[in-house]
Amino acid sequence: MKYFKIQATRNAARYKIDNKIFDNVTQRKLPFEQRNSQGKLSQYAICPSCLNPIQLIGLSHEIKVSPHGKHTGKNIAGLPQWNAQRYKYCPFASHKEYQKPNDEELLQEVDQSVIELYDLMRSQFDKVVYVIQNTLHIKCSDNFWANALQSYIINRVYLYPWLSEVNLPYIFAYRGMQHMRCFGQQFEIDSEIYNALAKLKNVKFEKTNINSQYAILRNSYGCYLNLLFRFSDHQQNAVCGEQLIETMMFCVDDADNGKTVFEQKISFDETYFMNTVRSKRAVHYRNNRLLDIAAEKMLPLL
Amino acid sequence: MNIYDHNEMNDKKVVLESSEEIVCNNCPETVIFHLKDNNHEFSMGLSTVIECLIFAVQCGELPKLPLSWLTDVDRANYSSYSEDERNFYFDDNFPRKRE
Repeated sequence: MKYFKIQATRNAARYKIDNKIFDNVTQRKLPFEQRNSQGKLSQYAICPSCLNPIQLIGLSHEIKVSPHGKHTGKNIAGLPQWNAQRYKYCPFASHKEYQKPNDEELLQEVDQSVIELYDLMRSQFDKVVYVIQNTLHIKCSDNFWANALQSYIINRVYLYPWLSEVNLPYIFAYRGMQHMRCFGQQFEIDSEIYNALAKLKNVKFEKTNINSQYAILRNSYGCYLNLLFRFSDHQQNAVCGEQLIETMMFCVDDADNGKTVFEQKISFDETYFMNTVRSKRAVHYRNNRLLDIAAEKMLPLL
Repeated sequence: MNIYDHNEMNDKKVVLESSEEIVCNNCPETVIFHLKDNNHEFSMGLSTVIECLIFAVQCGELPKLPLSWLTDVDRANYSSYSEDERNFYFDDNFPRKRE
């Protein structure tokens, strides 16, 4: 992996594994630099994905590959307790132990990490929607998002073992928007999805006065339009154990004949959501209607 | 004794005056019906019409509806009528035949 954390929380900042950055962030204080049993100085931090302890390789001496983090597999004094359950869902876990994403598996218990991600969704729901709308080139109604959130809660997606602060908006769409109707939502003019849908018989796009870049999907008069969003195939791939490539398929199906009329592979942006959350400018652009929806629907977990 | 005055009911027979498709991103209703009797004019959303239909089905005044149709209605209406067995009979209409 190429990032590390120094606090075992979902909201904590992640830093690039680099000698100078490690020096600045930790000042090489305990527990981030420790002498091992042979007396050798080793550098430690926290895995940004599973929040387990990691050893940072290649900081104190040059190695052939770029500096990276490696799970310790055991407890390290002063760092969070080793959690084998979390480790098996970490995309940076060894191939032998890594459990690939699947839609059936949910965590059995609500731990601190689950609560933090649940609270992050509740307090930043407008930004979750902002990121996913920009990624998919759509703008949906508050009513649509309220129903997507309802589906997210009913299906207990907050217990999805591969959920993290990085992929929160994408996984929200992946499970929450599943099989929801496209009708009446806005699509960015000239985007791939807009062009694919505009070609269909019975589809009509109506421009609005609110935003000239978007048009509302309507039916031709007298024809029922049964187009549904569908998401599938969430994958995580830690390329050479360093860069995390996370993807899912975003499709639109015509539920009347079962045909897929649009298909696109979506790559998750590792920093987009948390940068949006931390953005100072964004403080002034909160969508209170969406925040009210989240506050109403997301009751405290415990 | 019947609680309704049938003469008055006939006088007040409601007719659909017009309907309007709503092109508003944040409106919960997609269609609004404008209704009128001898003395009043009022509006009713499509979701209320569906609610009335389901009420009539549950009372036995109308036959049950095909599950495939009701599932599509639920998606359009953000409702969950297709989860109640009193409302539907099972059908296997896929691909959907709407003609």
